[in-house]
Amino acid sequence: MREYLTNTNQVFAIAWRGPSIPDLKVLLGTHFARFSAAAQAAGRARHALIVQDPDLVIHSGGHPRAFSGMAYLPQRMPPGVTAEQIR
Amino acid sequence: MRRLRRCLGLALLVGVAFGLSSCGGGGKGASSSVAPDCSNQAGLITSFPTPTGANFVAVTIDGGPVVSGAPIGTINQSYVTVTVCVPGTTTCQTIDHVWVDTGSVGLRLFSSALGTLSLPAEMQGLNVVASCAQFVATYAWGAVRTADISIGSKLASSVPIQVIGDTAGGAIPAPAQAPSTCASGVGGALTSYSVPSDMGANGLLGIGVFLQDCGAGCATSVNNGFYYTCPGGTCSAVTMPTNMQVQNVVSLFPTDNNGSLLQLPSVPPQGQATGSGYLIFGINTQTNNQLGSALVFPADPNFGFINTTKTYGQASNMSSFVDSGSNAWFFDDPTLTVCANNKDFFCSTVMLSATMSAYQGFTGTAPSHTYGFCIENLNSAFLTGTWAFNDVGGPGMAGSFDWGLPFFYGRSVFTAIESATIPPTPINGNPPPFFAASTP
Repeated sequence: MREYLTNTNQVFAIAWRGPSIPDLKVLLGTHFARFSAAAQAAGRARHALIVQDPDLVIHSGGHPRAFSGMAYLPQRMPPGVTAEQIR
Repeated sequence: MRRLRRCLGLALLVGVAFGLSSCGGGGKGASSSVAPDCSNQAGLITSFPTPTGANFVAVTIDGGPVVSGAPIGTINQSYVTVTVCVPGTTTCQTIDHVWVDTGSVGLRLFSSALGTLSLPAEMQGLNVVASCAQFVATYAWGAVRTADISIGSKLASSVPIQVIGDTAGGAIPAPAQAPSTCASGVGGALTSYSVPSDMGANGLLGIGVFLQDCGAGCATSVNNGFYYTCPGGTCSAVTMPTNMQVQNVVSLFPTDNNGSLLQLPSVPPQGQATGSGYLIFGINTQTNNQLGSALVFPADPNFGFINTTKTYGQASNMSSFVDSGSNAWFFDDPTLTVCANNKDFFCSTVMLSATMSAYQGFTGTAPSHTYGFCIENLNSAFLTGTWAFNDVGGPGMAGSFDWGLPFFYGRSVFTAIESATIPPTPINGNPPPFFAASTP
């Protein structure tokens, strides 16, 4: 579990990796609703859930005992930080 | 030509949502030198001989169980038949269409598939043990019970399995009332596997790289997300010794127990109606399960991940896995078009390649190998009753490459279980857990 902070201590990204899925309702806060909607819309054989909006990106995937994912706010990313660095 | 016809048909079938431009070959991100012609599958194995020996079971890829006259499966689900018995007895139930999954561990059968078979519940003290298996968008909840398991001619005795939806006579809640940390592992977003039509199968045979579904973490950590007891109807997370956890059935066979080999013949571009093949138990234990020239890719001992490097776009995908229970190639590629009416899949046609290698952090010597593959616009497949495709893909998680069932077609793919011995010792110097696959 990692949090990425701006130099003013604002969280602009999180990433996780572990045997079970963390409680994303807590981690995502107000952004959770869009993730939940994506989960409800997904087919049941899915191995990844993706939210890819201009202001919010969430990726959650894996399988039992090996889940990982990340979420970030593209508009709050500090200059020079890329999505690939959120791991 | 055939591809074009398929694309024209698609345009007619689903109207203007798809432009013909999405049917073109090549496309952004295409790799140059190693990418295959989708119609040229040179090197892929078109037919595997029937194994000799008593350590295998037939695999089918079809529409899954038939419920109310209609198949409930989706594309690329590979199934075997499993027989479960009350331990030490000949009181048994044979269950068809159990989904083969190298991406998870443990046998999980829907309560309804067991019929009247009454298996003993696993108890911790006075309480029935309840199991939660989280998947990305779903969870399976139900009692742990013990059974003798026969698959083909192999028998594993007194194996803890999960019975999905089983409340053990009210000792644990129904799936809809599962603890929030299971049902709502992502805060309420997960949906329940309650009946076979939710899964497209009568159960899941998890034969991944681990001995148990959770492992040592659940033996020591209470809030592990996997195990609960529910005295008085209120569930609490509990620790669970490894031998009481839901087990990898393969590891409990008396012999041929160090892993497994899936052999599914190749399928042509744009799929074929059904597929078939073999699930062979053991690795290098019989003449029919030799690694031979297959390449061994060590997997992370904690998570089972391997690494994947795409030969285009984003470089490293350290959270990658080889997963027969994924029904497509799933990977992150923003240059591909996600189907407008089914966001699980790509509606692009493109030739790509990706390189499989040992897990990130592996310090020994291990190979890497570049596999070519195609993604085709197969949205119309869902209208045709065609079930086996090697060229269907969908959007995946950043940093992960999911080598789903399409990868298995035309290859020998091995899954070696942690702590097991692969004869002769050592194999390539790299012990399990690992995945191994034939080339190309």
